[in-house]
Amino acid sequence: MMVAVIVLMLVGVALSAMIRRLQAYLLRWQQHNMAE
Amino acid sequence: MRMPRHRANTSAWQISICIVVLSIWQWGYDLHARFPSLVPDLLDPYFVSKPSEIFEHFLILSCLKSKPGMFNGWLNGDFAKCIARNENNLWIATAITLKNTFFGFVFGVSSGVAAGLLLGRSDRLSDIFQPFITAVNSIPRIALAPIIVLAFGIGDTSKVVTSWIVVVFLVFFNTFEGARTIDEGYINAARLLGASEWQITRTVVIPSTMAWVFASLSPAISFALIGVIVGEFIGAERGISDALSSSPKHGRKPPA
Repeated sequence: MMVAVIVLMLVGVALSAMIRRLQAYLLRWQQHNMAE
Repeated sequence: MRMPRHRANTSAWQISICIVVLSIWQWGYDLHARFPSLVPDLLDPYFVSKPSEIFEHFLILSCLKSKPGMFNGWLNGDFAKCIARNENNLWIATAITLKNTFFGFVFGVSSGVAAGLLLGRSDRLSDIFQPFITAVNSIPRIALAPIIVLAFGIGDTSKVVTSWIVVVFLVFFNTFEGARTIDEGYINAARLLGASEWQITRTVVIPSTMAWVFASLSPAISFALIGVIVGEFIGAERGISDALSSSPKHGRKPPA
């Protein structure tokens, strides 16, 4: 059971990291497009 | 040269905290057994297991080991046999949970953005739907999970729907607020230049609202995962929560 809890924690961390990178990319893309 | 040093310092602190927490978890209860008056009765391994046992069980559940001390070979096919033997092994269970989370997130974000823009741009629609949205938002969405599982079955659809219903309101409210707080001056300027409503939405409203939408993505992914896990807890054929709840169900020792 604790294995699943730890795996879920790692999955959550990985997903959050991915979303943060996606956010950063989208914000850069938006700024670039608005500048044009 | 201050930045790399600062980063190394931060990493050293983070690693130290990890080591301390894992050490207390691993040996804290043994210390309590030896010095009951000095060390408090925390972290009973019956409930929270130990990092070493968790790691051992992780290797077995993920088919990297068949039993303690014996690693499964890749070349002799032991790993593939183990994966085939257990349909809900850790890899497949995690992949299914991730897949459901992804779809719940994508549907939740897209429908939340669409509804937020629609109601944020229209005062009439906003006035009509405001009480209903407030009422539905007041329901603890997790409480709907059993009904969703009953309606959509114990397959993956009910997990995606549970995830969607948790995510959609979060994104909707952010988008709605974003669409509401646009400077009217920009919209009036676009109107003066002869822009149609669709052009105003596309060139003024959507770009201005995007920062609000992006801000909601981070909590949305966590909520999507929570929705899937709750859905899987209520009833699932497969997924990581099935592994999470299987030990008590089968009368096994709860930890690890």
